[in-house]
Amino acid sequence: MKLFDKTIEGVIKYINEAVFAEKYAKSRGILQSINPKIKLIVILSFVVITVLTKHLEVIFGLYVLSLIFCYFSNVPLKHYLKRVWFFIPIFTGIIALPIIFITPGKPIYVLLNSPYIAITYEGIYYATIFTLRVATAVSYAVLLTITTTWNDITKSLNKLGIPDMVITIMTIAYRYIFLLMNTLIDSMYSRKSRLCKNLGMKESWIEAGKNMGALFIKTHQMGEDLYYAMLSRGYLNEPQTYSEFHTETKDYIFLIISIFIMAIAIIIDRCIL
Amino acid sequence: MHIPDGYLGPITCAIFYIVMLFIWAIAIKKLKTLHPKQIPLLGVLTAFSFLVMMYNLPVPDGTTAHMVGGTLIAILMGNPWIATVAISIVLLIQALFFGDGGITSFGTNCFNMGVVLPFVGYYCYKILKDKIGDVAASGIGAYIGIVVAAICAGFEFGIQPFIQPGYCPYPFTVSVPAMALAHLTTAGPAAAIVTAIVVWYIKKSRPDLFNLSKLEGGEKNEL
Repeated sequence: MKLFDKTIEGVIKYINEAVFAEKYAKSRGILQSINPKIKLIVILSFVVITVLTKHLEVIFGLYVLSLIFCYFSNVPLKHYLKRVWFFIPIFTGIIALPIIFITPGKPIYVLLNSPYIAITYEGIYYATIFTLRVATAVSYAVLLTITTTWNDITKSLNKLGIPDMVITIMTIAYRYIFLLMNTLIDSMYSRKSRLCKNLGMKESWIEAGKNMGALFIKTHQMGEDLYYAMLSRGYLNEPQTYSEFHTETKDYIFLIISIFIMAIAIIIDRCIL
Repeated sequence: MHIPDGYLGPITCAIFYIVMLFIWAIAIKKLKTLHPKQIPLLGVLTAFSFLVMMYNLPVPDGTTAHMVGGTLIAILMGNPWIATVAISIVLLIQALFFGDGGITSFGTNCFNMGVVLPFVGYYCYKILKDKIGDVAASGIGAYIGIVVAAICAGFEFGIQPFIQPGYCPYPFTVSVPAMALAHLTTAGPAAAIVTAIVVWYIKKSRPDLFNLSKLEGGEKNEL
């Protein structure tokens, strides 16, 4: 049963990732101790700088820096590398493979003479810079995720100007994703346990559609219940959070050092190389 | 269709962020006109659209395809702006927490999947529904919506080699057909069939839930 198995596999993968994320967010380390608002700004800036740089050396430097951050944040390097590289950068590497052959330039190894196909230096450079850039950007994004709890991120986003209403919707959505995932798994297992044979392609699509429809009806009911539950507890159309952020000296030091590193990266990339 | 960081150059990302800022501003204005009851509903609906992206449908070549659900939400809520908000939030959660789709390309992803897809899908549905009925119209809307969104993504990939090297290396001639073909043959039919079945199922079992925003707007005086 491809439909059920694959979907359930996907659900479990997402839940694992979320659990994995929260586990390291609570451990002690450099990034975990920084004010989430400053951390969010710094890490997002690193992602932007990665996209802006033009030279392989600078991107490589930024990549090594992400590993250093990871080390000092007490995140096991093996987990981190697996989380970063598995899927997006590997997939990027595969789709970048043909450019090794089609980019014109200095040939390194001639595969065929007619038609002329050769691995070129420029081709390898292009493929490497493209893949490493994607991997570095993903590394920083993952770094933010695994060292920050959900509440801290939404609160930081709110402080940075994302409207209250969006934060409310986002928070509810995040909570309900897991509840609805359980509902989805339950309904799929109950369907699967009542089957006498494997469903064909057509039947499994119809079942998926019905399942989705039923999930929507349930979701709608939940939304209504949730509204009355919130209203009866004094909901005033604005989110309230209980944790307070304090900016300390170490946050300023972290911010200044980060800005310094980013400035050096930009100067090396644009003026020296 | 989730574009990761590093595929699009800084200029493309910046332009789409600026475009999206205007669109988000309008969407939030529209949100404020909604009944407060619909805000929690929108929260759970966002969770729902997150889950819709996780249904893996088998396709004949042995792989699976997933749909975005933008058209479905636009049709069920009777308002494509709501789909824009829901899909944008889903994409933000995916980008920040699950590494699906990039942070610099977030604006572009929101444009493709949160604006182009639900608007094209919804208006196709609206034009067709009186002629061929709700169910068929929703399927065709979902199909056209996802294919047009994919072509947009292909186009964004395709302009990269002309702006600056080091990002997505393939020009239009490669990227647009690749994106269009994948969505014409796998994700498109999946979105069409599933959207049509969901619409048929909900119409059959809970016809009162159709066009929710109209329905609940009418209740406004009650509270």
